[in-house]
Amino acid sequence: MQTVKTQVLIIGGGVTGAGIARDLALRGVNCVIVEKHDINAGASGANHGLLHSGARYVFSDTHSAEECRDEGRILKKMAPDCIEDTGGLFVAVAGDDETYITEFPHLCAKSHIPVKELDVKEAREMEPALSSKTIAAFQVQDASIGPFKLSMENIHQARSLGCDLLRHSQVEGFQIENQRITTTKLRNLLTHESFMVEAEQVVNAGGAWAKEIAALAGCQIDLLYSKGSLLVTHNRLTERVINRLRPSSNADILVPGGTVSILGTTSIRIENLEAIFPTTKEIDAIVGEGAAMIPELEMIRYIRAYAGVRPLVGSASEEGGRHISRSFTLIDHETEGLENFATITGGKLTTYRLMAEKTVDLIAKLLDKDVKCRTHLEPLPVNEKPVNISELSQKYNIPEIIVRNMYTRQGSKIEKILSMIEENESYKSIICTCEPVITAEVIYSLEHEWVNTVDDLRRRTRIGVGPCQGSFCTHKVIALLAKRKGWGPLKAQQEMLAFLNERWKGKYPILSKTQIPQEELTQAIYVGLGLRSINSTERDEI
Amino acid sequence: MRKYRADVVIIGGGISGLYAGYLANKLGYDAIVIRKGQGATALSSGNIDIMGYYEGQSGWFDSGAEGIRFVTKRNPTHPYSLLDMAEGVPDLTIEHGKHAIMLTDDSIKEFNTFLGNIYTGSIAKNAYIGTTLGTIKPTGYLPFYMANGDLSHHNDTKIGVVGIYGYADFDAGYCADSLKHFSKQYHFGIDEICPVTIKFKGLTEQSNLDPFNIARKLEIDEYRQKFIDDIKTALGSKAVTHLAFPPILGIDNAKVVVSDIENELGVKVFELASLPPNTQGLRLVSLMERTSGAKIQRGEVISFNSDGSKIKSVVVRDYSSKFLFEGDFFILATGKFISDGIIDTGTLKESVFGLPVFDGKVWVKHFDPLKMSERQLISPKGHRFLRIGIRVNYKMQPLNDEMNIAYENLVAAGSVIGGYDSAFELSGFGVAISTAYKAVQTLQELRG
Repeated sequence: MQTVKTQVLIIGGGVTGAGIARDLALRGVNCVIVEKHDINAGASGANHGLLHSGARYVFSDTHSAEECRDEGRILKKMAPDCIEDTGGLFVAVAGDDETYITEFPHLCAKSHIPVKELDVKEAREMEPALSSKTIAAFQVQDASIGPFKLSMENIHQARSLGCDLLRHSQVEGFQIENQRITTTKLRNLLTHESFMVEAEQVVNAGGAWAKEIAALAGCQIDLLYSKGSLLVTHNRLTERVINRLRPSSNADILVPGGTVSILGTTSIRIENLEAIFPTTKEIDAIVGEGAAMIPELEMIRYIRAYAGVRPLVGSASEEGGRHISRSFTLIDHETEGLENFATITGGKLTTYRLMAEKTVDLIAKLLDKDVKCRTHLEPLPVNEKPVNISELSQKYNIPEIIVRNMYTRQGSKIEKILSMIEENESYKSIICTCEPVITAEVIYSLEHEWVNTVDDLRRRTRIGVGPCQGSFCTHKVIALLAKRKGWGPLKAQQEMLAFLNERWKGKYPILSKTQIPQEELTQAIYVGLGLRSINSTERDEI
Repeated sequence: MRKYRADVVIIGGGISGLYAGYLANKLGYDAIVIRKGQGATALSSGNIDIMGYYEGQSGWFDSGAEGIRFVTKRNPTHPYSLLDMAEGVPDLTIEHGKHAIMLTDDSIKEFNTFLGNIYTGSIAKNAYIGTTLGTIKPTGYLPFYMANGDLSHHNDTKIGVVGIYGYADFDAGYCADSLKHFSKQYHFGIDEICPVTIKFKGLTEQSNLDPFNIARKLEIDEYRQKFIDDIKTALGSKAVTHLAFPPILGIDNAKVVVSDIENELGVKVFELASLPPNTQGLRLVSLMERTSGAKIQRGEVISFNSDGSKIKSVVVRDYSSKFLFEGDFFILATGKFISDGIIDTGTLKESVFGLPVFDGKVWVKHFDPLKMSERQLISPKGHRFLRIGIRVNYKMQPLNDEMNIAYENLVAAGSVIGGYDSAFELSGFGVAISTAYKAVQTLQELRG
């Protein structure tokens, strides 16, 4: 059996694991990340993409509010390429609690969170989509952040410093001797081969799965699961993040992200992590509530619904989980008799860097390594140099909008990607017309960004996330993947079905008048052209 | 408002509307087709699926007739089952499906006559065609540009699958591999399938090529010759008996493009059934427009007038102009969701006359997403939302929610009718053609 040796094993390839890897790498510590699926496959990939100013938490959780305030500021400096600094508004509509509205600016001031009261008319000029029933508006420093890009860039830098990432690798158990984890046993879910990792320290950054992972080492974590569902609109409704000014509730945040807006979320206690999807009841509630702030939300076409699970550390008696702190928890399992095992969970996207810093502080101490954190000082090295978009557009004769969108996904790497066209002019061809994404970017991602499935490619390039949800690009992407992965026709068909089904999962719960025609067409294309499910004999053949 | 009159006013310009227009015109009616777009027919691959699959069947149906027998035995509200009731009740003296098979067979033959016999095929035997997705599917009738593509009839053939550099919709290598795999699985007698990727040097752009662009170029002699030369070069010493193409072989002059390539290269040529963007459906719509004999008026029907039992007229809007069309008979051929034949205004209903809709079993007024579809995109049951449509009697007369004939002078055809899932069953054009045929028969009866 293959054995991988490293100083620190990180379990979980979400944004926390990625942040820990980079922090360790910058402190000169060698590490390996193991991830059951893909980067950000859990809650890190199923959230709003919101960089909190902290204002959201001034009522209920000043500790989280202040954490968000500081981390938001740091990330805007350290990861500018992953952030669209949109700014945000808190708005109240007729019928909302007046006391909240009056108290809000004072509480913000108390937590030193910048806030500016706006004239309602002024706010509606800034954001014309706001309801005519708006009665109060405040400006805050919220922003939109790309979680996948953030994780990718953390991992990219960690890798350049010697860290390794093993995806599709599930932890099956730990070998414990003398109060230490000596070996972690894993299985590759694609090849079904088992392998071992020997590390001096093991970090459990499994997010919602942290409890199950800890249990494999005989440790207990008091973890609650809170499901949050979100809806994606087919275009972008506002320039800024819009928050409802009231106690945290369903559907009170609308976050713009690139060409779409994301509305959510709910907070529903669930007992297990199987089959996480939004229910019709949740969706109706989200739309109904959201429409109070932005009436258009009631008429608009939604292209997708999805859900993520927040891991909340706290007492099991809490209802829904809204009142449990959104702050994070770092557990040194020494108290349970394990000297080299720690769990980091809870928290939020905005505070991922701080979570990594605290975790690595602990590990550094355990490793007897006295090196200070640098992630609040060194920006992520995404853009080595500025890129002139219109120049590139002219040089390669590609519409500027395509180059600009590629830039938001890939940063200064677009120079390298576009140069591929010099070798092969056909790489200019558009594969995904919704975003749009050209062949060169798809090929680049396939060759450099550890892509195994179309879904992996989606997280990296936004293939299949637009209004058609993969109807017109899936077969093209499959052909490109099959060639590079050496897939046979059955395997390719299985992967095509897997991706189409993955997209379908986010569509059928919100099938509505605006989306049904698209689905009639998708059925005509794939089912009408004879695509059928893989039967059991064929599965064996694969 | 300007006023017009026609004997038969047909609403919808897809396959069933234009075919009904032809049939009505042929019977001596003054017929007009009102259309707001080209509908879903223009997005199709042009071949006539009669019946390929049904829930409970282990594989594809050998023939359209077998499929019709199967479904008429099991599902009394399927359009084929309605067509099977020659006298309004199931005919117990003959076997299931017999009437429907006869009527469908007649209707497709007549349809073929209408289009100058461009189709070959039979209701008694399905053909098996390759698609640009790399799948193989059964179908009833093949248009001329697919006629050599019945893979079940291939014997010791060597097929070259032609891809064009810069035409990203179609990957010849992937498609060839996949077709090879499935034809082996079906035990077809194909000796070899290989990709032939060419650079179409006649074009200035070598990226973002679309099928319309290539097809239009191939209709020009000079470009066509260059294209044939490019294929020759790419083939080199490779010996093939057949060349399979994506949907690029011309639009209105596809016949010339196909025969020129065949003659120059000494091979048989066919196109693979394709998804949109696609020239195949457009070829069909364009040919139907040119040959139907019915007048075609662009515009959207926005309201109608009736005396309670009969439709008197419809109001048509084309941009800012409005027209009134009076008629003796009306044919509803507006399609399903893609073409707005069925809409959701809080209540799900047919869009022109506000007729109620059903799913083959019960009336559906409110669209509850979780009850309307299966959890798998490709489900062994099909999807309920795709079976939604109006309810008609065996004469194709729309029914109201009390199961009475909605209007005495109204008949319907095509996918606006509910009770079947054309994608899943592979029955789209078969139902469209046979219901249009029946609808015009009814109209003739009503005139007395």
